[in-house]
Amino acid sequence: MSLIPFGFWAASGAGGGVAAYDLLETTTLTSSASSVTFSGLGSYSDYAHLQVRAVLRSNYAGSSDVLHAYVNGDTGNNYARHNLTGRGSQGDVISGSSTSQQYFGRPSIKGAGGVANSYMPLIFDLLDFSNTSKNSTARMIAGDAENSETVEMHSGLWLNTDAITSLTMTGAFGTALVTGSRLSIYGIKGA
Amino acid sequence: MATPTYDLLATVTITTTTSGTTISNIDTIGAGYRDLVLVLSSTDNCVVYIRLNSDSTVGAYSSVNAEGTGSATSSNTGPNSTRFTPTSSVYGGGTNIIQFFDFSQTDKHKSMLSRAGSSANGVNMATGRWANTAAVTSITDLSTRNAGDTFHLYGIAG
Repeated sequence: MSLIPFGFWAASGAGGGVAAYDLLETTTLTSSASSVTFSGLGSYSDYAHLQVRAVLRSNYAGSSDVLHAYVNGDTGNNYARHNLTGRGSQGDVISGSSTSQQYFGRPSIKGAGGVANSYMPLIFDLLDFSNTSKNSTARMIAGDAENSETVEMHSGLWLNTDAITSLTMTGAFGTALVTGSRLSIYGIKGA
Repeated sequence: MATPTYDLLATVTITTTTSGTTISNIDTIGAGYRDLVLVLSSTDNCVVYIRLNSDSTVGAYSSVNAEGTGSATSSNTGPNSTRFTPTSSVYGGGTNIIQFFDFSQTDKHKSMLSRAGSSANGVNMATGRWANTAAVTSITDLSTRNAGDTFHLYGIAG
């Protein structure tokens, strides 16, 4: 077995290409916040896609809350979504869909009643976010290993061709995301 | 200011049948990164049992996974376990990508997401939690690996 720690690499790429995946911003909550908004996305139009990596927990008293994510401040009925959810305790995998929604997807996040020190992981991809010739789409993968006992994949569609300039995330049932929640947003280069 | 990231930290290439593969010194090679991504490319099977910091405490890990075989779907849990189980099925070769979040943050338990697949046998997604606030310093795959299998560990700043 060989173990070769490099400590660098992808910034230049093995083939001599340019960096393709860049950290843009990170928000780590040091106090509760009703929502977190990345508001300067218009300045990242030289990227093709965005990705948010997060660990989230809300102040909802139950063990699990639900994440609401919307763009450009739009909470009208302009979103559609599908989900594929493995429900470990029930042993099944279910799928659902909804139209005329106010948010992208509805992945679970940890609630205040959940296991202490536990935050729910999320990877949220926002594709072609600044392309004005198509509606914007999103994909999320998330999971809660011990309270809701689900692992989830969500897709979302925003029925609007505007370039996305802001992304807001908040808990659906709680009033705030709590201290320790962390959201980082990355840019992914296109052509 | 944009910071290029998603950097290769370590590579392990299995040269002879090996039971248990550990990437260690993560506190050193992963310094300055927020998340880790472990990519396992397996030629034999894709069963993966992950242990962090060699912690074999009963109840230290919980997992939920979902899989589709092409003809059926199922989901199961692995609560109160001694290991994280991102994939439990015997896939005939495949790839498993495991994401570790906030691996060095000492104010929270460590959470994981994974996706795995084998074109011959199925596709899987999973989540897990290590009920420990310690910084991750090593990752061990407890399964037996054969020559040609590879592990790549990446760091993502955040």
